[in-house]
Amino acid sequence: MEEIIATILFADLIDSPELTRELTVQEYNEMLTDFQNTLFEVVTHHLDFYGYEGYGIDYEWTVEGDELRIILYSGQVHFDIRNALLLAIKIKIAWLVSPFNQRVMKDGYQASRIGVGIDCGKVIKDLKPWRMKIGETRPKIEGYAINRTKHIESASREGRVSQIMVGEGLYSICQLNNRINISFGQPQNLLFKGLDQKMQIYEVVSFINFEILPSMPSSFQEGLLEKMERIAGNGAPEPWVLIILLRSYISMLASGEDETLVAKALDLAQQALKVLDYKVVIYNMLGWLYSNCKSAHTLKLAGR
Amino acid sequence: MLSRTFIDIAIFIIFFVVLFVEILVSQKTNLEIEGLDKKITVLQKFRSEGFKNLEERLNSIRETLFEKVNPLNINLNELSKRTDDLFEKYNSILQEIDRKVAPLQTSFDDALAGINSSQEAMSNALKEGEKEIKKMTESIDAFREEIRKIKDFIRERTIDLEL
Repeated sequence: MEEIIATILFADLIDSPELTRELTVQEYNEMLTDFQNTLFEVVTHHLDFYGYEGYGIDYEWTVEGDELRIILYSGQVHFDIRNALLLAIKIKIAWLVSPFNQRVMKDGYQASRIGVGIDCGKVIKDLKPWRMKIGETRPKIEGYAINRTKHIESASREGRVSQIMVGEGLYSICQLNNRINISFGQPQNLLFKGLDQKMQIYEVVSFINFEILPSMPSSFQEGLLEKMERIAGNGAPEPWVLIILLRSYISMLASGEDETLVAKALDLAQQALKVLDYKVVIYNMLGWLYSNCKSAHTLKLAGR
Repeated sequence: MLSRTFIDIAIFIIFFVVLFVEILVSQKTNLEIEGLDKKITVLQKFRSEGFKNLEERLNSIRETLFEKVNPLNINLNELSKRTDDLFEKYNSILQEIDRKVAPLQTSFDDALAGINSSQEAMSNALKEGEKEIKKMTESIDAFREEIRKIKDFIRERTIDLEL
């Protein structure tokens, strides 16, 4: 038996009850296949890309039905938290641009979304005798932190920006220093079924990280920005999409100024300011644009 | 009787005629034989004279040849002797060379073996060097790429911090 500090991530389809009603069994199965394939590709690529050693060594993950569970325990909790956040955003992007969602949006419907819950806590890595009797050889990660994260994830549909909810464990680690460029919304005290006391959870309202788009699997890279631009320009996009897109524009502008891109960035920032409650991150990005792009001033004077 | 006498006479005459003819033929033959003998004698004489002449000529030729060949023979002998001397000297020189060269040969063989092995070692070293240089180039390229990534990473992280 081994006691470890793990970062746990749960994710599932927010609108799966509606989908099960509207889709036939076959259509639902096709969607599920697409969903699981997407998650498989993103998660395996990410863990390999960021140097995780292997299943059962410093991580484990499963996907069953529309539920994804990832447990990271590299021994460096900040590293695990950052990776869990990156994974959360990446699976949301990958599902948004997946063939299923592209079809849904083409038909004029709202895209299916993923809700995420993340938390940190102590867990036990152990191989119980009864598991050995049924032929299992690999220790299992078990602990209350896992159940707690599952509850946190179930509250993700209440989110208004990213629908990534975190628990007190992760929140307190992130507040200790500014190693992770993340901002949280106001705490929500929620009473969950099966728990005798309220639990405080937070929504991630801003997670600035340049690695999100460049470290997507190559199969998602082609035309990714264009797809996200289409999503951003399509009715009422999820606010987190605007932040990710704006951050990627800044990366491109840092490599070389392009007046058209500056104009797109300024428009996107204006759009984000309208829908986001937490505007600091957008003001910061606008500040960067005005500081580093001369054409931003000209465009401002021109009334954009 | 008469007829017998006539036959006898005829036979007698025939006999004498035959005898006479035979005598004539014999005489003629004898004369011819004599003539032949004379010719043979003359021929024999000529032949013996011819032989004599021939022998004289041969002797003369032999003498002439001897006169002419003998000095050559002397020269040849001298030449042969000189050749022998030279050959002997050459052999002694060769022996001397062998005697002197033998140790050199051994050391030369050693040196050659050394050179060969050095050459091989150098060749291997060069090949290894090439491989090493290739590896180093690859490492440097990878390092350059890594540096570029790090620079990009630092730049992007800086932007993240600014934001």
